[in-house]
Amino acid sequence: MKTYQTYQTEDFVQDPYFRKWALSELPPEDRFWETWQQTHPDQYEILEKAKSMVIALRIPGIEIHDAEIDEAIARALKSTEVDGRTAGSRAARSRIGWWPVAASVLILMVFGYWMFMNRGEGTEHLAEHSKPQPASTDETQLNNGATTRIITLPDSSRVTLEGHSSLRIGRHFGKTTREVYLTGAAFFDVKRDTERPFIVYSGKVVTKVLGTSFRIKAYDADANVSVGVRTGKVTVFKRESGAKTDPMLSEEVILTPNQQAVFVKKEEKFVKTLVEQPAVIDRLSHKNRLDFSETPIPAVLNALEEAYGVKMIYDAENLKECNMTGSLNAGSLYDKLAIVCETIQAHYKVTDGQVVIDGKGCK
Amino acid sequence: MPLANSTYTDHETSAFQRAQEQEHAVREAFQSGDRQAFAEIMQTYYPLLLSYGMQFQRDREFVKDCLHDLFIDLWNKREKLEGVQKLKPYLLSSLRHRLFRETKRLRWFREAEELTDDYDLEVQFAIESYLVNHEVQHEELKRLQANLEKLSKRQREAIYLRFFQEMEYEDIARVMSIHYHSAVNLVYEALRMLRKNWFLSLITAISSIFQA
Repeated sequence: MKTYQTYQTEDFVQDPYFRKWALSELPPEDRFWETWQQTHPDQYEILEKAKSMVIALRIPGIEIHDAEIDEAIARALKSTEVDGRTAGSRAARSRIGWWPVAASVLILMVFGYWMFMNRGEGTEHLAEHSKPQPASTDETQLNNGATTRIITLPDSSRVTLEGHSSLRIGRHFGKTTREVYLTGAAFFDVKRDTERPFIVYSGKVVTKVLGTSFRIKAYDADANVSVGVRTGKVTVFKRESGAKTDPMLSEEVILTPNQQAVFVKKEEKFVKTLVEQPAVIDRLSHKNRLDFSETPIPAVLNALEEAYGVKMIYDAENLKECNMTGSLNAGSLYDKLAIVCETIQAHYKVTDGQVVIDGKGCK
Repeated sequence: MPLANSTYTDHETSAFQRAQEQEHAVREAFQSGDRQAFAEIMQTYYPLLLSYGMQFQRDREFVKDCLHDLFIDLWNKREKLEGVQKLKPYLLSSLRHRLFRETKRLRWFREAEELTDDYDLEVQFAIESYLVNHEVQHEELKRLQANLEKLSKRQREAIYLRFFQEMEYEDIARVMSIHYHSAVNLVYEALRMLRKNWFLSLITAISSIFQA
């Protein structure tokens, strides 16, 4: 016997035997649930709740007449009669008529003309495109594997789709906007086009950019959706229920490099923070090594701020007497901040995508 | 959380086993080219596939055309079917892919005409249509309606597959091309949300509608 004593409402709702009872599908002589309900008064409410939920979640079937099925079977048998292998009338296609044929001929002609005009460079062009598949409009790209897959969009933006993720490309991609729909995680390297904003829908989170690189993690099973920025500027906002809302009306979060917005699904709120591993953004300052010799701390923090593009908030007046000797070339941004803070006996915290340094100063 | 579907009583188990054995025999006959077995498979799966297809596409003839092609393909590929363990999730998932593909293709050619975003249809619960059609003013029922509206398309589809098609999570995951855990979560989260917003007065309201 099953352990119905431990069942919660959700479990009863899913139990086939219970469902039959709730939907009055059990034979009248089967009194199991009535007896159970009487002998387990503590579960009375759970059972009633579960019962009404089963009823409320009924989905109406469609009416199908036997004749309809017989007809379908006869039709299928007829189509496979000639010789199963060669037959197979493509009914759905015949409904569309000759248009696909005409269209494909036309496409071939255009393509042929294009090839003709591009002799020489044409082959190179093809080779370049054949590796990452160019995606055509309104298409879903699936990646059920564990490894990443690179997709090149029609505007030559590149999407690195991580495992168990899918990307749908909007039907009107490239007309006035560039819209895609993501479930799972992906890194986007978006081609700059100020006329046509690039918009990613991932559950309730909408990310809008003109041209940058950023990563979105939006697995259905996760409690959060996160958008982390590598370069450029990204706007993130909540998609209101209903189809498309005016982005101007909803609360938005603007992200700069190394910042991340985390959307907590339960609370439907954004929290702004830093990405897990902030990367050095400015190649120039990357060349300038972070070596310091009795350098005032505000100058050190300034150098870090420039290198990572992350705003540092501190009391410059307070810290101007502090200085530091050493190099900050290795390790993560957090390691470096820890070293700085250790030197001057201060603390740092990340708030709202910024680093706040709190110290007594050096006198 | 006990997730496993159910353990059957002895009587049920033997009936269940017999049904399975029978299905196995039909499949073997089908794979070796028995046309009677082909008809039997269609007889079994056609209604539930049509029902599933109509959740995405209101155009019944269109769904039937897709089903026709699906079964023709199944016949032509019958010898390669050995790797398929369970026929039902395999057929449902094939239909799902085919519907999306054909709808897309159709739209490409007839966009301007009658085709709207119909393929975006979502599973409707009986109570939703009832409340819409009868303009029920009951306060609690309206709240239930609002809560049902919170369910996503995918949650609805998972609930449909779980309860209407009575499928295991493993198979639901296969049909929807998602993880096992995502399938479980889709259903459990929906149920949890509803349970939290459930009141005793709702119970009586619902039974008065459906069991009057």
